[in-house]
Amino acid sequence: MPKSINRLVLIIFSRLIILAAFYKEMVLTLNTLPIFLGRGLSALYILFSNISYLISILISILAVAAITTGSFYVFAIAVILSAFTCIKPCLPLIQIISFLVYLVVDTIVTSYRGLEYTSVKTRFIDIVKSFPIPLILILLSTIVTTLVTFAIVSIVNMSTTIPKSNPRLYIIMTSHITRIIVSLVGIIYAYNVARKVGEITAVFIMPSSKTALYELSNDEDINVMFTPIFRWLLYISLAAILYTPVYTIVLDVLLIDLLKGLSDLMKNIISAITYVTLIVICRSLDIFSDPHLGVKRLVITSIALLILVYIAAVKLVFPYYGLGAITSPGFQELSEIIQKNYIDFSTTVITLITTFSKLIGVVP
Amino acid sequence: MSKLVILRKSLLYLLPAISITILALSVYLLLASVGYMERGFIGTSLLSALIGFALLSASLYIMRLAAYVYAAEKTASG
Repeated sequence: MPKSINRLVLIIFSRLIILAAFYKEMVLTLNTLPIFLGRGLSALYILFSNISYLISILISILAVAAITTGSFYVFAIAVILSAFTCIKPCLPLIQIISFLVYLVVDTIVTSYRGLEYTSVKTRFIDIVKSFPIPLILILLSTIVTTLVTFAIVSIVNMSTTIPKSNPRLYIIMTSHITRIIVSLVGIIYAYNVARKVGEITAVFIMPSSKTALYELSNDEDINVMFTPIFRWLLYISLAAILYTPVYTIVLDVLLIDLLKGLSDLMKNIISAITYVTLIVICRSLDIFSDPHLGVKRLVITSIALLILVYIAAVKLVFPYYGLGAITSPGFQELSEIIQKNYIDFSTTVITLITTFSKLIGVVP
Repeated sequence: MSKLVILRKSLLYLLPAISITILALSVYLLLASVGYMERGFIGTSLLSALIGFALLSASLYIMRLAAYVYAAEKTASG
C-alpha cells in the first residue's frame, strides 16, 4: 500500500503510460475477441495465419501483465514485440518513447519515499544531453539491424543466381531450409558481433582502470584458445562428412559379399545395426571435442581409418589383380563409390528435411 | 624510459593497428566470398567466408584487449 498520495499518483501515472503505449492493440483485441471466441477451433487457424493479429493479442496480454505488476521487463518484451504488428517489421517509436518515460517515472517512484520535500540538482547541460543520447542509440541500433537484415536478405537471394548447371547444388542452395539456416546463423553471428562491439565501445567511452586491470589480470579471460567459429555447425557437417565414407567402406565394400546372399529384410537389419554401431564407436572416440587431450586417441583413430581405407581399396581390385592389389590399391574405384554415396546421402537429407518441414508447415 | 614502459606505450597503438588490419582482411575475404558465390564456386566461397568470420572474431577480440589496455593507461595516467 503506498504511503502517500503523491506516490500513488506517480504509480497510477506510470501505469497509464503503459496503457497509452498499447492502447491500439488492446482495443483491437477487445473488439475482435468475442467474434473469435464464437467461432471455436476455426478461429485458431485464422489466428495463426495472421501473425500480426496474434502478436497484437500477445502484446495486450503482456500489457495487462505489465499494468498489474509494473515490471519493466514485461513492458520491454511488449515493446520489442510491437515491432511486428505491422506487416513488415517497423520501428515502434511511440512505444519506445513511452518506455523511456516509464523508466524515468519508475526510477522516481522507487526512490521517492513520500512526504519528503527534496530537490534534485542537475546541470542544465546534463538535462539537454539526456534527450538526444537515447534517440541516437535507437537510431544507431535501427540502422545496424536494417543493414544486417539487408545483408542477410541479399545473401539468401543471391543463392538463386547460382548457375543451374549443377541441379543437385541448385536444389540444395535454393531450398527453404538452407535459407532458414543461413538467416538464423547470420542473425546469431550478427548478435554476437554487435554485443562485442557494444562492449568495446562502452570501454572506450567510459574507461575504468579497475575493470580494465581486473579483465587484463584474469588469465582465463585473456588466454583464450582459438575456437573455430560456428563450431556446432562444423561438428554436424563433419559428422555427416566423416560417417559417410566409413559407412560406405564397411557396408558397400567390406560386407557386400556377406550381404549379397541375404534377404532384403536381413540386409536392412544388418546395415542399420552397423550404422548405429559405427555412430556409437565414433561418438565414444569423440576426437573433436578435445583435440588437446586426446592426441593418442586421435592418432589411433586416424591410423585405424587409414587401414580401413587401404583394406577396402585392396579388396575392390583384388578380383582383377590378385596379390598385386596389395601394392596398387584401387583408390580411384573406392572414391567413385564414396562420391556416389555422398551425393545420395546429401540429396536424401535435403529431400527428407524439405518434405518434413513442408508437412509441418514451417515452409510453404 | 625502460623497455617495459616503451612496450606498454606502444601496445596502446599497436593493438588497434593489428585489429584494424585483421578487420580489413576479414572484410576483404567476406566480400571475396560473395564474389565466389556469384560465380558458383560454392566450396571456395564457404571456405573464404569461414576464414573471414574467424578473422572478424579475432579482430574483435584484439580490439577488446586494446580497449582494456587503453582504459588502464588512460585512468592510470590521468
